[in-house]
Amino acid sequence: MRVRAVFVMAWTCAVLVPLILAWGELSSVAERSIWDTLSSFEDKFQTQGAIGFTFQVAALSTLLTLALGIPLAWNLGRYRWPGHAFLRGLFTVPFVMPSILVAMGFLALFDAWPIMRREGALWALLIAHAWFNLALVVRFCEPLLATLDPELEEAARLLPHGETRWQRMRNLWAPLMWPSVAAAGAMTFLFSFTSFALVRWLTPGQRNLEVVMANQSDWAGIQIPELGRAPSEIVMAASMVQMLTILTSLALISWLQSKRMRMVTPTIEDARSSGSGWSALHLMLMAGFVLAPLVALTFSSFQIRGEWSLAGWEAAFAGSRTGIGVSEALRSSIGYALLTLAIALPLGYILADTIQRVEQTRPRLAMAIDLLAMLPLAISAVIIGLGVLIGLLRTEPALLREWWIPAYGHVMLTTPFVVRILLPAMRGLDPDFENSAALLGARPFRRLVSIRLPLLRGSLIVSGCFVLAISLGEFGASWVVIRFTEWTTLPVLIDELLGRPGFDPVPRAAAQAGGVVLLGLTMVLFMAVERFRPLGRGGDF
Amino acid sequence: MLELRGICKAFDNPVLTDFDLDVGEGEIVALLGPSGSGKSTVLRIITGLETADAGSVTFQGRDLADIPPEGRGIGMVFQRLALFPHLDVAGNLRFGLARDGDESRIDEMLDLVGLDGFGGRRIETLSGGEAQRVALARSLIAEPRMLLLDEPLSSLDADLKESLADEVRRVLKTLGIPAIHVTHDGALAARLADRIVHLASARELAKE
Amino acid sequence: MKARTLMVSLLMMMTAFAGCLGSESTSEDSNVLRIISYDAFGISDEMLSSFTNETGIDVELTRAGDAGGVLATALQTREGDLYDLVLGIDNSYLGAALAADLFQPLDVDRSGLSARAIVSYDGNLAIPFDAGSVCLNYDSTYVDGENVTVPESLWDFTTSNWTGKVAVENPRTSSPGRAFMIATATHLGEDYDDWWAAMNANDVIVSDGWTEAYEVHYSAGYGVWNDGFIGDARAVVSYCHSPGVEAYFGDNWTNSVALDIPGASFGQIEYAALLAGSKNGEAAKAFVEWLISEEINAQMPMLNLMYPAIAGGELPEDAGYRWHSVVPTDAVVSPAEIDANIADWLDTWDTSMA
Repeated sequence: MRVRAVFVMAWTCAVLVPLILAWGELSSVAERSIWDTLSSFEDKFQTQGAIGFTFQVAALSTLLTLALGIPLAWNLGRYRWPGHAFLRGLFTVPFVMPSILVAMGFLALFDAWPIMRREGALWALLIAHAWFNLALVVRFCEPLLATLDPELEEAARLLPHGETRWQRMRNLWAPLMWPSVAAAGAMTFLFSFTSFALVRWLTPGQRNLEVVMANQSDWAGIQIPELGRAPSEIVMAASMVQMLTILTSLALISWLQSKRMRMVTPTIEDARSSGSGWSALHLMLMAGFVLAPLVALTFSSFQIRGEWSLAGWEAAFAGSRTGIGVSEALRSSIGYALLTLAIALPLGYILADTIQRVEQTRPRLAMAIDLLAMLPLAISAVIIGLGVLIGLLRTEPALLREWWIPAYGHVMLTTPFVVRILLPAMRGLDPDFENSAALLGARPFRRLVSIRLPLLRGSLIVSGCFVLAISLGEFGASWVVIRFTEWTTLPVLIDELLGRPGFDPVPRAAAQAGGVVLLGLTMVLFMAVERFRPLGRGGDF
Repeated sequence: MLELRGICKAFDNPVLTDFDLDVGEGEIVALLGPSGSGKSTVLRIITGLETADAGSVTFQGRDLADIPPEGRGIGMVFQRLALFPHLDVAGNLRFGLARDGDESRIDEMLDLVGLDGFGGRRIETLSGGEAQRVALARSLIAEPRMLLLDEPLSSLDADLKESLADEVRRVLKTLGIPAIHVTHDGALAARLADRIVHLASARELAKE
Repeated sequence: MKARTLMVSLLMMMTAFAGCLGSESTSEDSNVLRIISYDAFGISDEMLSSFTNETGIDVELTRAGDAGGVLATALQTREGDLYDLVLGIDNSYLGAALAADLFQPLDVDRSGLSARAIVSYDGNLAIPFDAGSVCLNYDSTYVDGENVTVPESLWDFTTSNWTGKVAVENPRTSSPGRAFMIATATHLGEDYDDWWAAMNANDVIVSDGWTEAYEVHYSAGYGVWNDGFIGDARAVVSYCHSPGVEAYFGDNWTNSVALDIPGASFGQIEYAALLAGSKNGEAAKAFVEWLISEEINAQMPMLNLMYPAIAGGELPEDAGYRWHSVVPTDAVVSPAEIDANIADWLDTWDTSMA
């Protein structure tokens, strides 16, 4: 237990120390209070409309995602389809796609559709968000839909309040499913709220809080008032709004998960029936929707100035165009991903394990640790980057140039996912397995390695793949921290390439080529994962 | 009341071949047979949750062929009880109450099955026997013209089975509702029913 | 695959990658020059390798955003002795850098530099390596001489002909944007806030970066080939030689024309400077000398898309690069003046544009 406490403390420090350091640095330069700064948000160009836009986008994205996602989860979960695991993988893949690639993909897709770049830009953003977050609705809802004891629906059919389909929807399905739907909705809200790359590329004229903070990030915290005051004030104010909103969402998600835990829904191994032609058509359309931007991006990478060409691909792997070639950045990304895996998986395991053990006896403490584990998702990348920078500058500056420093951001952002995936799996483990092993004389470590870990094998693999996929695509936190090292990751490189003057069309195509590679890697990783997830499990994340 | 004629059903193998059954007014019939003999299938065909490959189902003189399950007026207590986990006991019973039904019937029905005051209890807190009786009450409150019971007592221990079987019989006879009880337990069949139909050979066994 | 095999292969892969990545050197290793520059800095790996071969000095190049990012990073990390040489701080930021005592003298031979390169600052704390003027570019197909004439003053852009058709960059996040803002402040004087308010009322498009303004919005640029092109702006803030670059990469022709309104453009000069805390002066000196040598600096138009800083350095004549480029009459403002006023200018801009 002491070992666990050490890890939890270490995690708490890793999360809170940079936050506190960054906050301290910002407030030493800032002059106005957060409240004053927020009141003048609408009067200053840099921040005008940001708060409203952020909330608007988050709310509308959530609605659209649920509108598209619920029917999808229904069709996917209720009926038996050939290649079911493949389909599940396909619909989950968007979630781990690097956001910058998604942006590029949608730009390529909407290229033939100019209205999506002008009046329809907000719709473009909402559609992209829905695309991204469909996976959440599917993951949260499909397992229960696929395994709910069919007797429940049959019993309802034979009773007055369940005679019509509509009545069954209202009186049976809605009450059973709403915690899952609400949790998916809250997570979608969270991710849409903090969306960065998509907002930057798809709605270029408008800024959300994350974009505002990124714009100010250069100068925030600089101790020269003329340069640093306004940016620091803005970052403090914006991040406060963001943090409060996100923490509220996280608390809601946590509450919903525990609510679901308390309701014991009878399930059987496989409750699916055969699907109709309409459902099949719907699934195919949705699959097309998921693949569309990815296919568009791939096509785009083979085009230069409107003509088919391999020049982009050649440049990507030749390495001369950029400071670092795409293949090196890819290797770098893989390296960071593996390092992140080595840290985030054990760390996440220990956090989840601690929460599960503590929640029997001290549920409040467990909920606190749970929230703490999720906290990095609520803190803006700008703050994390600044905090890490300050912390290291004050203690051991030379460390800043170590290649593994950016992995910190990756670990912070992937560990919460490990916890969210492992925790329900651990809760579902029958303690008698380990108890009987103990009575047979097995020591704790032996029990861990021979019984517990193998039983958790599926969830460990799933969370491992999540860590790898997210780390490979990580853009936000890396972007801020990585500036201090020579090493770059593929998403950051792609952003760099996209940000350079594109008079010469080849670097852009090279960036897209690199993106396609990253995309392919992530997809393969992810499809492999779904094979390890048995029907009916995984519904808590 | 209920007439089954020439019912045939096959999944991968034939399960029912040319099966006939009659249930009279207020009669309780037991369908006895080992697992896989098609007992549950018979019930599902009667309710309309499953369609027979051949044969007819006639209830109170009407052919049920084109009538969906929700319109047949036949209730069923399921094997795993299918109590709705998101509702408490009263809520489950209310589900069986017609839209404009009288709420006081809920307490009446609970009283009838011997679960006085259980209205506010959550489903997961119920014991096996209690859950059983809630499921029964829920089906009955809908005032079915016939009740089907799909091995509802199988998961209970011996003495509870017997007392509950008596209970169920008492309630059914009080309300005068005909019923079919599917089970693999011969003693239970004898206890609950007026008449036993043996599924393996479709022979009638006279009740002792 | 068995769990154990999986773990072992993962471990092996990790050590392989760890070996690849390695760690970076510290300042004790005096044969390594640690440089920080902006993202778009055009010197390639091959050129750096040739520098290393010639001088025996290894170069580690970190890219830190744009010119502002470079200065900010240098300021933030000055105590930490992380870098030696800073590339890309321009004359709009130089005042702040000098006021903060960020640099130490670089004793290179500046006699070969052009007059243009030393007009803002002539000293040994910052050595210019390239230059370019920031001004408005317009789409010549839009300016047809009848309904829409070639603008002769900035105020022309506040008329209905240009409603929603001008793209500028956010001065807080973009270096050309900042440069243009300074030019307007100098050129318009008292009318500065009025002009910007009028532009705001005229639906001027403001982008956070040059790329977005030029590629996505400008109708006469190469952006027309890109995914997501909008093309609603007929004029954009860019460099006066941008049309030249367009022509060069676009088969000797472009519809884009640079607008020379005397005093309304900003002559941007980019500097190399040695950080005050660095012990690597010798290596830095060698690099900067290499950078402003005839051989390398004359390539600036191709590498960095900017004018060379050396006297006699010219844009190449090929493919209309020189022909389409304009050398305007820039606003006259010193780095010290900029440093004194920039906070006010930025704040006024923020308020006028809200």
